[in-house]
Amino acid sequence: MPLLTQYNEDEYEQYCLVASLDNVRNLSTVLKAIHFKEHATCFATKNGIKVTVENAKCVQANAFIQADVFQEFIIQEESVTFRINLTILLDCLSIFGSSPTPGTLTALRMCYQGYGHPLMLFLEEGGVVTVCKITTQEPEDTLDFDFCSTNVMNKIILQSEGLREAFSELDMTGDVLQITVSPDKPYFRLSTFGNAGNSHLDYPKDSDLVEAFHCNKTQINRYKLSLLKPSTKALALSCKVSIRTDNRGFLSLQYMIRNEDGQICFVEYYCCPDEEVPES
Amino acid sequence: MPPRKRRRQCQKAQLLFHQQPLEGPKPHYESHQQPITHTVQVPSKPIDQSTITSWVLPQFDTAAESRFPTHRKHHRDQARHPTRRSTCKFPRLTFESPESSSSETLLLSNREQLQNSEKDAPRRPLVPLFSPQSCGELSVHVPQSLPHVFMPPDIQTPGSSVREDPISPDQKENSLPSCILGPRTPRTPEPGPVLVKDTPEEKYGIKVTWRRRRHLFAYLKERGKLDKSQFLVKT
Repeated sequence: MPLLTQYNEDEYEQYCLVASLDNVRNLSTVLKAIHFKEHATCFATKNGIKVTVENAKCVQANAFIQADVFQEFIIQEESVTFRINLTILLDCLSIFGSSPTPGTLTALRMCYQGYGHPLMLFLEEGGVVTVCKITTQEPEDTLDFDFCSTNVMNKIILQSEGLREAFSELDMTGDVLQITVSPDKPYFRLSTFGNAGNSHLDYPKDSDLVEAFHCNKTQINRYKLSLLKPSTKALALSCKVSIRTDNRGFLSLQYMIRNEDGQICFVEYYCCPDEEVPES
Repeated sequence: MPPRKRRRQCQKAQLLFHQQPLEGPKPHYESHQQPITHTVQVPSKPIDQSTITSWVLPQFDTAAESRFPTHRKHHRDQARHPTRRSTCKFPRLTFESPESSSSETLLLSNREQLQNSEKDAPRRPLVPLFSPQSCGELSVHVPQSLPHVFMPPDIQTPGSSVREDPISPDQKENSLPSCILGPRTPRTPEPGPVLVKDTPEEKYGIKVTWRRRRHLFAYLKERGKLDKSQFLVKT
């Protein structure tokens, strides 16, 4: 990267955040998994970069890109926060092409100078350098799901392929997905109620697809399918998924995603349940 | 034309059903309608330090996952690999150079003749040895018989024997003593494991066909019916 080599220490100090990647796909792939809204909020700390996307006060998705994933991760302040257009960011990250060519990698250096400054992307592939400057915005309030591990009532860890099959076989013409978790049969059941009828998919707790099954009390919750469908992007990329519900029926889907270099990233989805409207 | 079609349709006989419709209460699909629901909404909060610094709490055993960055199958293969090694029952093969093997052969043969120890059994040379017990006369003069038994000229003379007649009386004088090549040799192969008997020197260069038919061979040769080119192997 000829342009990047010209930078010196003084130029490094002017940036409060510098992150470099030899393979930009390690970042773009994870961000695509949470790309169901146009804007996202980025939080950078010593742990790495957390990108948050929210919708309709019912869904929140967080992508966690650990600092270890980056070849270079420098943060001058305790934390850096900004809001950005995720659509534009993804377009810039794939400016050299979205289909990967064998043996060809796009290197990325991401720099942010601070409040009010644009996010600068230096992308290099085959000696060609592209510089992108994306305007950043003021971060807005975030949804308070207050999902605490101490309030978790049920927890199931599945192989992602099992859940992918469920989402492909269930009748998705209905409005809701009902999740039943019980210490007795059917243990873990996914149900949909479509125009053609009802569909049920049961997972025995001793199945090879089930890695962990923790349930002390039967819990039945319903979630809008329109809110869960975006999570299938992360499901397709992941190898394992953790399904948790708390005492309020709030759903947490944590996906473990392995990138091309074998490193692990996480995507987390929070979803609110449906509750019946009392008849007046 | 239309009126005619109508007449034909009226003339058709009514269909007769083999089975009558089942009687009973009709299902009321309206009862299966889902109740009216609305999605719970969560409140918003300003971005504070806890929101910024909050990080994912992995629900998976990432330590185990990081050891095997590839697929799970690879993990299984790695887990089985040590088991395969531990269950191996065959000892490791050791290969030696020709010089060391030949010297060891001589040493081992001497040890066997002197000590006849069982410890050296695994290292016994897989070559036929001449048993000193089979030759009563030579057992007393063991040191003298060794150079005689392992005379290079005798071993390296198959070419010369092929050219000449191997059964001639002159050759017998130069060949090994008859007691060594006598019938007693195969009876007591005690010194070492004799896998394949050595070919007698008089049969060197003779075609296998005539080796197997020694009586016929002797009869025809005695009467001059066989030429050398017929029973000798061309070299």
